[in-house]
Amino acid sequence: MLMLFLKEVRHRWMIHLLIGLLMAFIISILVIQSSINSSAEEKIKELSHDLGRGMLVVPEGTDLESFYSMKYGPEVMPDDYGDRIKASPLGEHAGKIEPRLYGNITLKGTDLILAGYKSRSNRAQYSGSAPVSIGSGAARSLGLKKGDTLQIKGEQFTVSRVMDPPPKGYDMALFVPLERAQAILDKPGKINALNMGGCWCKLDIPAFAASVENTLPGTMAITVDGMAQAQMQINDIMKQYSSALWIAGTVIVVGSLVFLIFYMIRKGEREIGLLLSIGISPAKIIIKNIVIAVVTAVGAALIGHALSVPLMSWFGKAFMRVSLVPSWDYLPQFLIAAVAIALLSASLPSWFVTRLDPTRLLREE
Amino acid sequence: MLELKEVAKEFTNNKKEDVVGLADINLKVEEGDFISIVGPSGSGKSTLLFIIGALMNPTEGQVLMRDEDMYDSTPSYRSKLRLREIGFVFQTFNLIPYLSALDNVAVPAMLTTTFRNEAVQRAEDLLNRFGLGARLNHKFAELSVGERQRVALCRSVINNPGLILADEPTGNLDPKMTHEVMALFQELNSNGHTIIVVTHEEDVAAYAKKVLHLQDGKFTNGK
Repeated sequence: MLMLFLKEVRHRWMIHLLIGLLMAFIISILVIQSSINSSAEEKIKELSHDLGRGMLVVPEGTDLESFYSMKYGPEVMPDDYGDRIKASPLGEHAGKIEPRLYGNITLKGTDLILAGYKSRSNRAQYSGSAPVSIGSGAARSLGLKKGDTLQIKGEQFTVSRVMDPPPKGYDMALFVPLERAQAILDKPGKINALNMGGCWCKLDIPAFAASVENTLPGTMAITVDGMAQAQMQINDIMKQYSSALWIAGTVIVVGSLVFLIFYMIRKGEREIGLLLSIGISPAKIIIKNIVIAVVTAVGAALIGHALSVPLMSWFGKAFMRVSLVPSWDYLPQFLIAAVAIALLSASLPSWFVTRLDPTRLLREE
Repeated sequence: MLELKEVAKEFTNNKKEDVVGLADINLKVEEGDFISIVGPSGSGKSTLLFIIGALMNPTEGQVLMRDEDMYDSTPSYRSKLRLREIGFVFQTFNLIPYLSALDNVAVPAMLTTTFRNEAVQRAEDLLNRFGLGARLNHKFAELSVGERQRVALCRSVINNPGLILADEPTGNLDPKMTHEVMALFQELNSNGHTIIVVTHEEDVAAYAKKVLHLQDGKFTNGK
């Protein structure tokens, strides 16, 4: 039987391959979809961790997805907003207020992030060269080390520190005094982020965020709480789509297997009749068809998972600007489902056809 | 060895009308018989052979093999009969197209023996004996009509069945090849195999020890 099985598969390798690839593609989409949900949750946990108990204040209209992907837009707000908060009744709750101006620049063909910050020592004015702290990736790309000098749009800098390791996500960043960043980015007196921190355990966070927005017109106050709620809404929407996607995917996978089995049976009716006529038992023919279907389904599930790695990487970069890694947690479920579907779709039609008189099948052309 | 009692077969045609294929067939076959069943096209010869070969359920009657009604048992039992006790040579050969001549002959043997090599060796010996030693690895499409017929014959006898059935085995052969094939049947019969051949040619039927005539689904002479 093994010889018959192998030679039949070899004889019809093209149809098995096509069906297998179709199923693999569908499975890879289901894996991607499942993994995106997990990745989105992971991402929000990461962001929540980064934000901690703090609050991020950004100009109204800021595209947060782009902002967190470090693609900064034109939206700005006055750089005295930090002082305004400090001076307001809200100031007593804000232990830390950090104004920032972030922007994207290109230097010697290298894409970099420019981060302007307000110096604690208040050495706001540098007559000549200003200090720059530089991420290790940027230092490597630009060939810079501590003590080297560089010029950006006419502004002189001396590398005061190479950050190795750099703060998370700032491998390609240059940290410069705020007013230098404003000059380089051509946004004098402006910032596009205000990081605030403090002990807000006893505060009504959403109400506090609303007060911040009222105090600083034209801003959005982003809190972990708000992000969690937004994420829950996104997850709900994703779940609705995922159910539909799962149903559609399952229908296609089942359909493909049923097609494969019916194709095999229809195409091979004479052969089934022939195998029956020379004494091969109906049970063995059914088992042969089941094995072919199971091998195709399991192969498709494995290939589908493997295929989801590059597909997901591409999908993440193209549409979400994040690196997505597919989850292999679903592989056992996919394998069990594939085997179950293959068993059902192969056994029933095979059983039906092997009940027929062999001569009836032999006459089929 | 084999007995048919009151066997009848009806078919339904395209107009949903019942058509009689066989009626009131009684036949007793003893071990070592060589019977030819002769009749014109549509007389029911092949239908009768299929029923004897455990391939087609009769509408009525019994087909007893060693006193057991083969159609009163499971499809698996009939599969075993076809595999071990009945060899069938089809008019259209019915070889598996993607298998070589050697594999086509070896398949039934593989199902009855534990050792694949033993089955292949038996198939090779048989094909050599039937003059097909140079065609072992040729597929269906690469064989001549006469070679296909001999491969089909080899397959039917690979498990040394007691009963060999042949449906128009010379229908596609020239006179020389016809003689060779019928001589092979005579040789198999002399070795103890019971043979039933269906044909519409009287001169082919003459190779048998006993000739039965079938007309409109009924025997017109002895049984």
